[in-house]
Amino acid sequence: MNQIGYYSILISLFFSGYSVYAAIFGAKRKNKGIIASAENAALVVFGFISLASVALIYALVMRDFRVEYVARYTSRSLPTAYTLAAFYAGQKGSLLFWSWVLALYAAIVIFQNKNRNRELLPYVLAVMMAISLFFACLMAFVTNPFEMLPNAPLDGQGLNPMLQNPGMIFHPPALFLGYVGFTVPFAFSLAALITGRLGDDWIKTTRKWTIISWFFLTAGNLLGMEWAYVELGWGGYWAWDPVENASFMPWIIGTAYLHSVMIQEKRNMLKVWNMVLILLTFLLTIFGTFITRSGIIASVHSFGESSLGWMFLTFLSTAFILSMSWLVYRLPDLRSENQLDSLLSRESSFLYNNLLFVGIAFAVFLGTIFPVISEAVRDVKITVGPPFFNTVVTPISLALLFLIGACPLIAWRKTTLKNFFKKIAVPAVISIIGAGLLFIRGINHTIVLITLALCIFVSINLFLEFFNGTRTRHALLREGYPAALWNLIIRNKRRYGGHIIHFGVVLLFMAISGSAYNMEKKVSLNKGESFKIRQYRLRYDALSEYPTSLRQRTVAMLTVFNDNHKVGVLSPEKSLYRGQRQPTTEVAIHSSLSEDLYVILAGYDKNWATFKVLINPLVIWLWIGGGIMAFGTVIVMLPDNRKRKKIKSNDKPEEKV
Amino acid sequence: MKSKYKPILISMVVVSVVAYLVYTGLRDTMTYYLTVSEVLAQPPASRPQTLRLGGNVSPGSVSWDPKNLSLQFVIQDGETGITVDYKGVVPDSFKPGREVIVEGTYMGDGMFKAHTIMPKCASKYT
Repeated sequence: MNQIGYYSILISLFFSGYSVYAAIFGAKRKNKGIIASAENAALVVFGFISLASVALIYALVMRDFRVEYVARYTSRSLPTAYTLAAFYAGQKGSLLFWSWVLALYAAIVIFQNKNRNRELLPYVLAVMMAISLFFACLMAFVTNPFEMLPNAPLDGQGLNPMLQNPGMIFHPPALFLGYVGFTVPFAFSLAALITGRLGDDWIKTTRKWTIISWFFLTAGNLLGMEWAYVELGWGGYWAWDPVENASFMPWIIGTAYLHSVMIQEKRNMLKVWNMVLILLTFLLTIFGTFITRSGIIASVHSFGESSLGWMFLTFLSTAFILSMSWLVYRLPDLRSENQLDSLLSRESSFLYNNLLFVGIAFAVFLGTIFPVISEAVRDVKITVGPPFFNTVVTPISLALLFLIGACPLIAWRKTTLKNFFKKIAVPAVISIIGAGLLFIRGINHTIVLITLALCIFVSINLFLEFFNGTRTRHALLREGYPAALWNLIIRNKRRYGGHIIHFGVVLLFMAISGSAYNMEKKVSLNKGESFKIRQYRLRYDALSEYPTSLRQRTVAMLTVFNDNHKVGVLSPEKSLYRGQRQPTTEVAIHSSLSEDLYVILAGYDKNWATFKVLINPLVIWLWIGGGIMAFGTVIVMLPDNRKRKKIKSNDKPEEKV
Repeated sequence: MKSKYKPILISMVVVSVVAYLVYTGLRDTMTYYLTVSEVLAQPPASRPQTLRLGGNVSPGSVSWDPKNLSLQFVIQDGETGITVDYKGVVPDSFKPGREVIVEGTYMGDGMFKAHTIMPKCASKYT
């Protein structure tokens, strides 16, 4: 099987190369047969990468410890789910997984475009297969997933206990699906540049690809936050670690792109800008991979220093130079057909939105690579931590939050300032009153008050969008209210799905603002003693130690009272996994809508135990907001049945965005 | 003014606000990353307030009082070392011999008061 796996990689390497060559050659000669053979070669690549993946999974499940990768990431006692997840737990396996997703996407693109985009497709294929070729080369010559050990150990080293969490099953695949997904719009944009077919065909074709990739990247990031929160045990979910930034930057630029393409579709503007954004999104996914694999920037997540990082850097530079040269070459053809008519219009609000997104990405980029820059320029390593990112990103993202609320109030082309103020007045006054009430309730943190006032402002405006639309349909078309609401959403899924996603974003802002009121206490208790934190009282009852098949567990039991009502038992623990030499701390969390009570067992002896207890307000709204964003994305993604509708009725043309 | 230039003007304003935020952010929050010998070689006058210090946890130097969550260890870089004093929860991956980064203040006389310790985990990723 292992031989089959390695040879499959070699075969897919060959066919990726052939596919690139045949696609370009066929497109130049306008020879359908050659292009078809390039397509078939890509499908062959998909077949063989799948076979290689199956071979690796087989080796993992069979615990074939002759394979270095299997010996390193699994052990006999590892549960099946994590054994399967070990497929992408390490560097070699994750490269194979990446190639597999890429080949899968290439196959889907081929089938989707059998009868359309025929001029673009060969180049799309060439780009995707060139990337596939790069990954196949890495696996064939640098880090072979099927590398054999001279002597098979009796048992493997096992998966890092921190990775043995449900997060491991969902977070990495979601990120990979998102990362790789952006390859598709990237390949289409590059194909558009190469062929000179610069209309918005490529954007329309890749619209769903972009949204799906964005969705997976969003989900991947949120799942990663949840995982860090419950597993890493420092009490937070985001630390501005380089690895987090690495997946945050493409998400930010991808989000900017998602917004700005609407302007190109609607008004034929921002063509160059859209090209730049999608090229950047893709380059940033590769950049993220580079910084996590090269060890160039110290991070808690690092894969360890390896030469692989530099190959990614070479690949990154090549991709950057090629795509930017094509962009510059086509610049004269990318002139906008329209200009901004006014500073206060829907279009310009999208422009500000984009500038702010890019601003965030730039700040995060600079902060992430600052140690490298300062070392190169001044020969001292200067790092910037969370305070830098927080002070820079907070005001910019608050401006974005304001735009979410203000944008629906601004008309296309032009709004007068007077009209704008008239529309904004009532929501603004209500949100200021809301902030005032919160202030009276004791919330006196300025940034939190501003954030919450903006959250109210945006929520009102989003609600009014649904409310007014439903009322209009009810009045004009005599639909019942539920039907009117449903039709409103379903007739303009992109707009109202977008509003739902934005409401999820509002909840994320609210949740994050809660962190200003985080509170922590360290306490050492004897059995039977209790202590208070805010309105909670925790009583330390017992410490039990018992072995399981996987680990030696030490569990502390605490009874939690909320204003003297018993609300439950928390059991934070420390475990020692078999075969691992370091302990693993498992925190215990009591969640409610208003706050999380987060307990860490920090140390213990026979009679006493020391705990770190945190109160993290509003954290649960991150996950609720994420769920609402997912729901909104599903609405946006619902298949169009407009063709059928058009035959039935002659509705007025639908308003977009 | 021609309307054509207005968006450019606004963009310039946005860009310069972002640039200003980044500049002040860097100025106010930057932290030097030094090795043990670099810190010891620095004259006290030019020593930054907070700094990051990288090195290895000297085996045998670790003393941990779990009741008060107080940790002491020597961070090493070749022959020289600095004693690190830290209060708080110790990350799981902290181990003697491993590479570690600490952030805090150098008190002089080979003593460092850390508010954060960040062990580097080898190879396996989270």
